Amino acid sequence: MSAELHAEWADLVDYLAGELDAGREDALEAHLMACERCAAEAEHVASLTEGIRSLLPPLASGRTLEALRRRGLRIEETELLPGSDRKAVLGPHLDVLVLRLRGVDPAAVSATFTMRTIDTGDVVLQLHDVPIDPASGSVLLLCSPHYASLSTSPDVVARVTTRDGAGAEAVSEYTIRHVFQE
Amino acid sequence: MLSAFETERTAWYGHAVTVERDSDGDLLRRIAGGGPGAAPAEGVLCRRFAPRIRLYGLRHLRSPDRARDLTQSVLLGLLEAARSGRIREPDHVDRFVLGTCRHFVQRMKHADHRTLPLPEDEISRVTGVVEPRPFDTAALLRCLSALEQRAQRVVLLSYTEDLAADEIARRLETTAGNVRVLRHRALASLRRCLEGGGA
Repeated sequence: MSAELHAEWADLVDYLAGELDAGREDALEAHLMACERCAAEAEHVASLTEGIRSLLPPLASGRTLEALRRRGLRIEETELLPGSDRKAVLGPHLDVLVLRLRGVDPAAVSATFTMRTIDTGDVVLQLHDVPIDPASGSVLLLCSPHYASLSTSPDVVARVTTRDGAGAEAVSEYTIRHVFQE
Repeated sequence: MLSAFETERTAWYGHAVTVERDSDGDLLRRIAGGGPGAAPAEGVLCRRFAPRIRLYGLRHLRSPDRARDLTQSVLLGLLEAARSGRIREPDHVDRFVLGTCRHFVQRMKHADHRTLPLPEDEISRVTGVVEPRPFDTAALLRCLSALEQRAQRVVLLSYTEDLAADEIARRLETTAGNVRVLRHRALASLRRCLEGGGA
């Protein structure tokens, strides 16, 4: 790649994901080291991907949760039944609080998760096709203490909407009041 | 009348302004010359290359902390080589930096250590130029929520579960090529959303 030709966004994304072949990777690395404009563009990609990585998976499968435990993260778990209203206490004593949202149809073919603030109804997070733990019929919501930096209200309603094979919809709601300790 | 300190400070800032637009080669020649423009030239050189070294570190070391360590070590090596005039092609210092990155990453991977401790007086020069901008987590969550279902899934599997395109393709019953297209489009969409304030 010459200095006059600039890197494509798609190549920068593949590069940082480690999915360029060796020849293209070598050429792109030499170019990035010499080209201020492309290095700045690659920084945008890195900033985004590092930002997403830092979120942890907001909803996780049991397997992912085990992988996080193996990474040495300090994890606590608590269960919430549909209709419950609970405090979720986060602080420097742990890295992740797992809220096991029970009462979800384990045979559902799809599940959507939505979290809204209680005071304004604003959507904080909406994820589709979320993993359901088939053994316990639950969705694992991962809360991180760094969410304390969010400017939104800490009191939220989490809703899991499932659809079964016949297309019938079921909704479970959980009220969660986050408490962030110093 | 200016005091000696003010005269020196004015001269330093004068050089700082001048060297900001210097080519890489001119910066190296200033540093090797050791005159009053050397210190500001070192600062400009570090600011210019720190983000590029960090990118290399993120790609090969997969950790912001280790990428930061790499950046500091490579910048220190660069400054030492520049001061002693050991860089053979000053106008292609990028090649020297890339070679040094490769060397350090190999060492860090094989020894599974971070880097050699830096001398205290050098730390301030090579730190502070490597920290990325803090991220607005709330805006990122809103923008992530606004992604189309399949794109959202690809992004989360890629970056929160660290899965390769092949594995994601298997899970979503599509091709790795399609996953890569979904991923780079989704990231572009996230970028636009965040630049628009995360609405």
